[in-house]
Amino acid sequence: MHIPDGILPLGLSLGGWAIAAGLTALSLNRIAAQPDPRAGLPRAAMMTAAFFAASLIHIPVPPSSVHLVLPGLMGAMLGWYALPAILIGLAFQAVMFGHGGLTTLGVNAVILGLPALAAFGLTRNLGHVTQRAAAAIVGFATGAGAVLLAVALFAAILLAGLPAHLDAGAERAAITALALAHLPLALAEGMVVVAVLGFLRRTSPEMIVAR
Amino acid sequence: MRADPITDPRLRVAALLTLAFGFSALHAPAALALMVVATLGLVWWSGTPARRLLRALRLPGVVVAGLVVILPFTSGDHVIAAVGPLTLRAEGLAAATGITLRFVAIFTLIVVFVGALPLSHLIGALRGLGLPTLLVDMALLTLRHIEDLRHDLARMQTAMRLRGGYGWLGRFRATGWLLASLLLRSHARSERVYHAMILRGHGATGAALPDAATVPRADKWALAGLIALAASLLVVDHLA
Repeated sequence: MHIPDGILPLGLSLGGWAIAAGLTALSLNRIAAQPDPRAGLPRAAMMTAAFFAASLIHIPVPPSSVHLVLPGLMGAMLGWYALPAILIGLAFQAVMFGHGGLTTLGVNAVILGLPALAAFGLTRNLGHVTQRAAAAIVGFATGAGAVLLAVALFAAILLAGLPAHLDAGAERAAITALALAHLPLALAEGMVVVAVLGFLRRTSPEMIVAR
Repeated sequence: MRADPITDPRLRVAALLTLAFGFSALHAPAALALMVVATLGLVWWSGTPARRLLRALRLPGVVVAGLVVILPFTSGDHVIAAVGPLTLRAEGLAAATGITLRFVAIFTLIVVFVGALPLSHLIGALRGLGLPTLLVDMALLTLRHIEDLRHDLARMQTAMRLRGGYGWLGRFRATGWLLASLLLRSHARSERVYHAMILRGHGATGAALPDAATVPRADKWALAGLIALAASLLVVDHLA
């Protein structure tokens, strides 16, 4: 779900950087307003490393396997720290593995950062539910919803940015294929996030920042 | 091994961003051809081994190929060849070629300018360019944790496989619990490391920034030359 360099036109790449910079500034502003802005740093760094390493966690989804992306979990656990954390994780992935891109760093941060912030909002408003089933539904919506939103943003930006026009049929086919290809990931990530949040709620509830 | 085009990490980042965004704006065949020549020139200038470049390109290259391979068959009206149900179209082929060339060129720039730079130096350069302190601290701490976390993850995944016995659905729960345990364990360590850093004076007011030395004159000239190169390519693209 990372757009590489060379695909998007300059305007879209610069726009992505501008939006990512704006969202990062907003996040830093909200973090600075907290009683101890540095208190969340260790957790944010640890989650950034987890986000970076998430691509190593493969879950078999027949006939293939998927790897975790974790925007929903980042939002639920980091709150306003999520977007800076995603930005750093993406920058490391781009420089170390060539995964994603440099000119598209802003766009990629928006693709994963906005769903993370949406997951933060969802957890902040509904994360306090104590009933097990309700908590599982909220956790699933956090994990799966964030992935689906990221896929929607990815598809929209990619199709808007391609330098050649696809005909309407090909465009519909591409969107359908992208959605279907990522549906197993959304389901898998939803179930994994339910398990992670359930575990943390029982053992260390303070780690779910937005509850 | 020839010398790096620019030695100061801050100017390397500046040159990289300027050229990368310049390259991403090119579409005309003449400008793309000049971009390829310029990229090859930079590879030669920096002495970057071709083998290292190709090895780094392998994985991201597959991703880009997967994205652009459909374009020549689905985009455009001007059919230049037909093989069975597949029709090769000029517009799509041109778009796919442009994307591939720009991707390879920008990726090569990353390898040339920051590929051999330790990440801690790169973070220092970004701090020198004005990156907010919180982001710098987060990046440094992340760097500190990546290897630990990968090591722990590999160990816990092995243990999970050895325990075995998970059904298909149970595997999601087991993976979630594995991840949660990993996060709990890493979180405690992360807190300890950060507090130890603060005790050693990290982030203290008045601490001198490293790498604040003056920029070598040759670096300034090299950066100016690379900015001029990016501007020239944009002009060629505009005129073509």
